[in-house]
Amino acid sequence: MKSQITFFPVDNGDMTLITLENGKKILIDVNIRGRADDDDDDAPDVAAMLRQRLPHDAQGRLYVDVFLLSHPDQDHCRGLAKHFHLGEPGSCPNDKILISEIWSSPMVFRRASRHLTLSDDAKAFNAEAKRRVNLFKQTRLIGDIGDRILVLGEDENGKTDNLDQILVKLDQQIHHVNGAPETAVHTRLLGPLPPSEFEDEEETLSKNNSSVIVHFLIASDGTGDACAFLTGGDAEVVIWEKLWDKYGEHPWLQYDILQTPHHCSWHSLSHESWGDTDGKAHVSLGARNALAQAKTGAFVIASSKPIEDDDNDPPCIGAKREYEKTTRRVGGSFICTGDLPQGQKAQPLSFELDKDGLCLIRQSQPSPKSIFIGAVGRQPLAHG
Amino acid sequence: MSPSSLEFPSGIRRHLNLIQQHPRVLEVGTPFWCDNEQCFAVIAEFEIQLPSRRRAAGVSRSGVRGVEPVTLIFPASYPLHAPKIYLRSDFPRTFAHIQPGRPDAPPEPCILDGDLDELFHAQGLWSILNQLADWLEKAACDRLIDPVQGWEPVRRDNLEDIVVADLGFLRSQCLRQPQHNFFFFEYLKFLKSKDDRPHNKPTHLNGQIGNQKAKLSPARPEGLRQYFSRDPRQEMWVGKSIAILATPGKDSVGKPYIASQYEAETVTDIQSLYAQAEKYGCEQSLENAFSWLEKCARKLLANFSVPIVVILGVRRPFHLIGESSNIELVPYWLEISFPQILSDGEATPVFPLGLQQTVSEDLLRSFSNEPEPLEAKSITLIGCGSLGSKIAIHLARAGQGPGTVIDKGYLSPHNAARHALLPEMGVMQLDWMRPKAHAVASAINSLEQQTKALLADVSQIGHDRELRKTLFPKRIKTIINATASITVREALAQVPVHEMKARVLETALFAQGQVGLMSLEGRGRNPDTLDLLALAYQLMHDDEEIRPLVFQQPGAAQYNATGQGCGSLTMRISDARVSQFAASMTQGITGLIREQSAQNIGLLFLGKLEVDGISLNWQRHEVAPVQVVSMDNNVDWHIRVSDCAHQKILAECSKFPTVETGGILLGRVSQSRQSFFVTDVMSAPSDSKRMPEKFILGVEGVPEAVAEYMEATNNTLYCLGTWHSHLRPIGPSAEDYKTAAVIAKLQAMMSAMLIYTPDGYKGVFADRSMVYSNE
Repeated sequence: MKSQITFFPVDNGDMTLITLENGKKILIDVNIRGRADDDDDDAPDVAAMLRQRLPHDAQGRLYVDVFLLSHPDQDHCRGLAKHFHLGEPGSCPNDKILISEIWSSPMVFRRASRHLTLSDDAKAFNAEAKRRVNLFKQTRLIGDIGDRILVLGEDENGKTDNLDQILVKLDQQIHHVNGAPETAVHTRLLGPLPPSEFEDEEETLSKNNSSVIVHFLIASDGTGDACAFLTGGDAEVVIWEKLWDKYGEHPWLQYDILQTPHHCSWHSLSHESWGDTDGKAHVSLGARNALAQAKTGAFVIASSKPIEDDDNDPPCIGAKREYEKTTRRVGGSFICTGDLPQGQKAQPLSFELDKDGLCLIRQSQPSPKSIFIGAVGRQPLAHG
Repeated sequence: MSPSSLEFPSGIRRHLNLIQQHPRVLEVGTPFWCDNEQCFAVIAEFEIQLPSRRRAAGVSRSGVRGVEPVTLIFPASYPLHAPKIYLRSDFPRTFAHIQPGRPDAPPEPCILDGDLDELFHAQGLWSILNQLADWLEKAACDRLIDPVQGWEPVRRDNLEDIVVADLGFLRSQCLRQPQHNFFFFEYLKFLKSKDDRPHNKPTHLNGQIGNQKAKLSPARPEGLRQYFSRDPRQEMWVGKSIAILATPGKDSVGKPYIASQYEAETVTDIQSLYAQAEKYGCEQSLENAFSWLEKCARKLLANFSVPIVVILGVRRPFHLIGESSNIELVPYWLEISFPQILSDGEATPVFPLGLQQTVSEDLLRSFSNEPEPLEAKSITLIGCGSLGSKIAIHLARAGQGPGTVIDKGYLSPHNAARHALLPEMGVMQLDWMRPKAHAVASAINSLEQQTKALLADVSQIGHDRELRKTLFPKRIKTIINATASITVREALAQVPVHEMKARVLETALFAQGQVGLMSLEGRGRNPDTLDLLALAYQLMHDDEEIRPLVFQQPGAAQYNATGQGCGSLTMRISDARVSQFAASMTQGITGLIREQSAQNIGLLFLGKLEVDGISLNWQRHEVAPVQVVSMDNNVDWHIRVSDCAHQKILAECSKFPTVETGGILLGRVSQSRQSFFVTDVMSAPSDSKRMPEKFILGVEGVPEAVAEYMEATNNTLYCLGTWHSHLRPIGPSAEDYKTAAVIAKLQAMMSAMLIYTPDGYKGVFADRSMVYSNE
């Protein structure tokens, strides 16, 4: 089986599923809007799309091997409590999705809660993460399915000391996925950046939407490095500048596919406001470089609403133009999950991983209505 | 002369606009006249998404370009037929889904698992463009083989030679260890016409590979003669030879070798055969096979050549399309001679071969969607007439033909109107007029199922124990009686249960094919087939619609009052009508036989043809075991009381707990089984008298009521005698015997007197002998 990466059409939000060649599923963020469950609404039913792609466990429950929350903003965890089981695995009802292993960063939570009130979904996730961490603290064992957790990044004041094998430190590789050694993907933790001793700097990191930033090197089709995938939640300009300073042209920033931070926001590329400067805002070279390490033919994906030529941000037309410069340079493509070919229903954007990189799985083209009715109903037709 | 573009048909021109609109089409060229095909064609350029790292190079690893020109050929019959699709002539041919074609013709993608013309009519040109665009993109990303759909077997060009084999068996011979096996192979080889001999190949080959292994030994070279023979006729050879099956070895880490790369067919000689075998991991097995064959053949003094088959067993990473197995059998043939088997060494020509599944029970069952095999060997079918032959052939086509078929008759010309088999052209139709059982058995045998034919009269089994043992040995579990013969039915019922445990499944048509019947005996053959038929008559009588059809048709009384059977001379109905019932009966039979062992009660199905002449309406009736009542005065005869009659008797008795009560018995007599079968009871008339020690059956209206009943069933059911209750558990009284004698005196045939006591039923047999003894 070839590996796949799927981006669900969730407007401004993230919801990304990696299927490894051994079948394991890593889900990054969810944004299942309440109205996705409402038949009268035309928002795509991403919950159903996700469920279709998930396997059942021995008890007949749908499950993901890993759920990674990049940061606790509502557009990254909406619908979590409704569609996923948060709590002891034994009490998981059949209609909920079981999360076998959670990947979570307490550091990101701490920074986020300084500036915003956490949503119920975020609180529920945090409680569940704490339950699993406490279980580990008590037993000192990697838990069973539904009890497992990896803590991404060290927290301040030694709070994550003694977590040993469930702690992944910055720059480390995640060797075990869902409790088992993993060779089908090499996952490298690049963020969140560590706590700063300086109050100002810590404040800046918090304000820049500190997020989990991960570089996946995914095997497929007999090739160990079939695809490099870089994703970093809503991380903004300062964070990318620091990453560029730290890594430069290191392979850990290079990608075959990039999920644009913060739904193609200008704030990931610039210190200035797109709207306020009438499109003349300056790009931060460091941040742009960090996000421009595209391999030949690379894809850049904006998980956002359709991008219009206006002052909106995110998604921002200026950011799109910057990313397109990169994709043009390497003969790649920029794709927005919100852009639909005319007359098509929103579908997940899926890539299959080939030994030569990513293959976009394109949907069949619906036949143009004009075949059947021509102009009738499209414009007023005068009859003498 | 080619037509100018001015003559370009407008129908095609309109479709060109559509092609231009397709989002994946970059450009559509100017239509041109295609001399080869004698029709118009156009080249459309498709935009292809290459794997990301190949986009800069503009061509995929497999050789698909970022922009692919595709030639759409509009046949003269367009738009009745879909356009043909050709790729550029240097398009790589190494893909799974490329149509086999001549090497000099442009490659033709196989874009649809189905008929392109059908798709074209169903969903239009647009869907063909979609399929094509998807095909190209999958080819570029190496996604043409879909693990869910299955592995696409290697495509072979222009296969002219076909042999058949039991593919499931051959696959089962591909074990984890590398090995080679020799199998018997019978062939028919004939010369091709002179202008049809490309590639140095002068002959066609057909044949069949058997499931028996051929044991070649160098020690007995002359013994090899049994394996190799040739009988030349005019430009044709028939003979025996062998087929080699070479199976894959292990890979570098010692696991069974899996060929996960699709390889195009390139074999033309021994050298390329070995090269291909290496890709499949079979080369060692193949080499072993050839060297053993050479060793064995060295001393064989034969001056002729024979064709042999070589099959490479290829292990694929997942199941093949439409199969559950992941073993692909890739067959070839070549001509070998003696003593040096490869006359031209490595250059000895080798030809790709088509391999098809022989007709087999498994194949038939799988295509009939019958998951589990019936124990067909334990089924015997009696009656190979129109209904029986159709049921037999239906069963056999589903891979479950009966193990034995029996009929006493011979086919005659009129059978051609409705029999399942067809007469063949021949001298005076003599071939046709053979025993029906033999004809049906050989048809079943041709479907690769063993069936025994018996030319026998089943009605003789009652008094001929040897015949009974021959026809119905112990292993038989089900007897399908499609004779519609009452005699046969009686004979079957006559055989005691301990001598014949098989249950009888009866099928019959009534009323010119307007009513069908199917019944299955209960556990221990109770109810038995006679009981069920008698009850069926009762049910037919009770059904307002069926009654007139079965019992009151003009002429019904002339030939067998009960509307028996489809005796061919009497029942004039069409083949289709018989098939209509035979088909639904066979469906029912399969289910009934499957459930038989779990089924305790008897079952009765009545099917009625609706007035539209098309629909059949079947009703299912469960029949509880009957109560068998011994006679107080006769050891041979019994009264069999149906559950329906029994319940009525119980109800009547509970109405009169303090006095005796009674009524009239209705049903049928079986002389051969020596039994009365009570299907129903008629209430006592109003002038009857019920007393504690006595019941007097009145007369008021009785003759009329019984006559009406008998008339309604055309005398199929009639009055059997009387019943009454005793309040204490005692048998027939002196009074009862007196009455029995009176009844006997007034009735030409025997009668029954049934007594219900708190202790169960008792019976009195009344016939003329009783009268004489009294006198």
